[in-house]
Amino acid sequence: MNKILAQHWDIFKTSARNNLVREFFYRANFIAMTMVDFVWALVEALFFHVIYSNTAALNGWTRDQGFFFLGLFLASDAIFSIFFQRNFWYFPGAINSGDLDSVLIKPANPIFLLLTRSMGFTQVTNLILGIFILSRYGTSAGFPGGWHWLAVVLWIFVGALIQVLVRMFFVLTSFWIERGYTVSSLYYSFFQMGARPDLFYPTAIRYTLKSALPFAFIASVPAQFLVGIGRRGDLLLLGASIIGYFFLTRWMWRKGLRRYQSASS
Amino acid sequence: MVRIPFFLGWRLSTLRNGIQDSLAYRWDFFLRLFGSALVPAIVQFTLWYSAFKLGSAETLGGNTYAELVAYTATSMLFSQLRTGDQDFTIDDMIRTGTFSAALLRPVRPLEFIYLRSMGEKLSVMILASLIAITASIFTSMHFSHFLQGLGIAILGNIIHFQIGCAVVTLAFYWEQSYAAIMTKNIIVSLLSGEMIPLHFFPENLTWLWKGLPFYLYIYGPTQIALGRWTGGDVTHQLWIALAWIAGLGLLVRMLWSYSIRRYQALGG
Repeated sequence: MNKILAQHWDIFKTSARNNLVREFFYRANFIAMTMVDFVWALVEALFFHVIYSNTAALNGWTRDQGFFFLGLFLASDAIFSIFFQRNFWYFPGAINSGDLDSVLIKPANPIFLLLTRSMGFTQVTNLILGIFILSRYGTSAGFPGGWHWLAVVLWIFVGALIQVLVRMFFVLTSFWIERGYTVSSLYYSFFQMGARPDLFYPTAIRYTLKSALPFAFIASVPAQFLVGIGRRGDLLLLGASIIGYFFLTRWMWRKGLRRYQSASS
Repeated sequence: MVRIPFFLGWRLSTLRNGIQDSLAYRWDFFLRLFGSALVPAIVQFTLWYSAFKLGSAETLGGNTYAELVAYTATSMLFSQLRTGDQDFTIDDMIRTGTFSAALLRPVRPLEFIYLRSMGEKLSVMILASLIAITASIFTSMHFSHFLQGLGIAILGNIIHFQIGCAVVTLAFYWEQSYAAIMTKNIIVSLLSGEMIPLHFFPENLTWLWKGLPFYLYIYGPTQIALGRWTGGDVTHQLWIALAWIAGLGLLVRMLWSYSIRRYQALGG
C-alpha cells in the first residue's frame, strides 16, 4: 500500500515539476492566461459591488459576508483550476479519439494519471486574491480568525474536491455522448449557480445545490460555517454528496470502460 | 427556373449551410441553448427572488420585482443572439494555417464565417420571436417593441463580430491571442447586461458601460422590448449602433489589410 502511495506521490511531483517548467518556458502564455483569470475574478467582484450598491443585504447576507463568500469561492476554484481543470478539458477528447489507451496501459491508476497530467499555475493570482479578500472582509463578516484559518484551508480543499467529483460525473458522460464539449459547457452553466451564496435561492434550488448538484459546498455552505451560521444538517448532506458522487463516478468509469473502443493509438 | 446571381447565391447557401449544421446536432443545439440561456436566467432570477421574496425589499435599483423578472425573461431572448465564437474559429484558422482555405474561396472570408454562424442565430431568432409572440398575448409586452429590440440586437451582433475580428488580428502576431478574446468575452458578460441590468451600476461607474457598445447586445434591446426606451431613444440607439458599425468596419478593414501580410501557411 505504502509503495503504491509513494509511486503516485512521485508521479504527482514529477507532473507538477514538468508543468511548472512549462509555465515558465511559455511565459507569454502564462502571463496571458493569468490576465484572463484575474479579469474574471475582477468581474465577479464588480458584480458583487454593483449588487450591494443597490441593497444593504440579500436575504440577510450582508455586503461583507457576500465578499467573504467571494473570497472563499475564488480560492477554492483556484485550487481546482490549478490542479485539475485542464485535465477535464482533455478528458472527453481522450475518450472520443481513443487516446485513453496510452493511459490505460500504464502501471498506475488511470484516473489519477488523467487528473494529474496537466496543471495550470495561472490561477495562483486568484488564490492570493481570494485569500486577500477573505482577510479583508473576514472580521466584518463575522469570521473569528485565529486558528479558524485552518478551517478555511480545509473548506477550500473540500470545495475543490466537490468540483472534481461533479466535473468527473459530467466528463464521464463522454463514454455515451459523442460531443463531450457541450456537456462540459453545461457543467459551467450549472457551476454559475455555485458562484452565488445558496441563501439567495428558493428552497427547492437550494436543496438541489446541496444534493444532486452540490455546488453550494464549493463556497456557500463553507462560508456560512466560517461566519458561524452553518447548519449541522448541511454536513450530513456534504458527506452524502461526496460518498454518492464518488460511487456514482466509479460505477460510470467502469461501465464506460466496457463501452470504450479504440483501434489502437 | 430563376437563376440567383452569385453575389446573393453564395450568401444564401452559406446561411442555409449554417442552419443545417446547427440543426444536424439537435440535442447539442438544445443543450447549449438550455445551458447558456436558461441557467444564467435562473441565476439572475434568484437574485430578485432573494431580495424581494426571501428578503423584504420593495424596490431594487429603482425596479419592482415584476419589472426585474420581466427584464430577466426578456434579456434571455436576446442573450443567445450576442453569443458566437467566430473569433475563436478565426483565431484557430490563423494559427493552424487553415485560413488559407477561406482565402482561396471566391468570397469574402470574414463575411463567409459570419454568415455561416448567423445560420444558427437565425434558428435562435425564430425561436425567440415565437416566444415573444406568445408573451405579447399573455403579458403587456408589444411584439412591435420586441421587433425593434431585435433590430438593435442584430446590429449588436454585427458589432460583436466586428470587435472579435479586430481583436483576432492579434493572432497574426501572437500565439496566445485567444487570451485577449477570452478577456473580452468575460468583460462583455457583465457590461452587456447579461448578468445584471446595467442601470444597477452606481453613478460613478456608469461610464463603464455607456462608453462601450456592449450594452447594445442585451441591455439596450431588452429596454426597448419592454417599452422602457421608446421613440427617440430607439432612434438614438440606432444611430449609435450604426456609428459603431461604421467605425469598427473601418478599423477591421485597416487592421486586416495590414495584418494579413504576416499570414503564412505551409502545405495543407
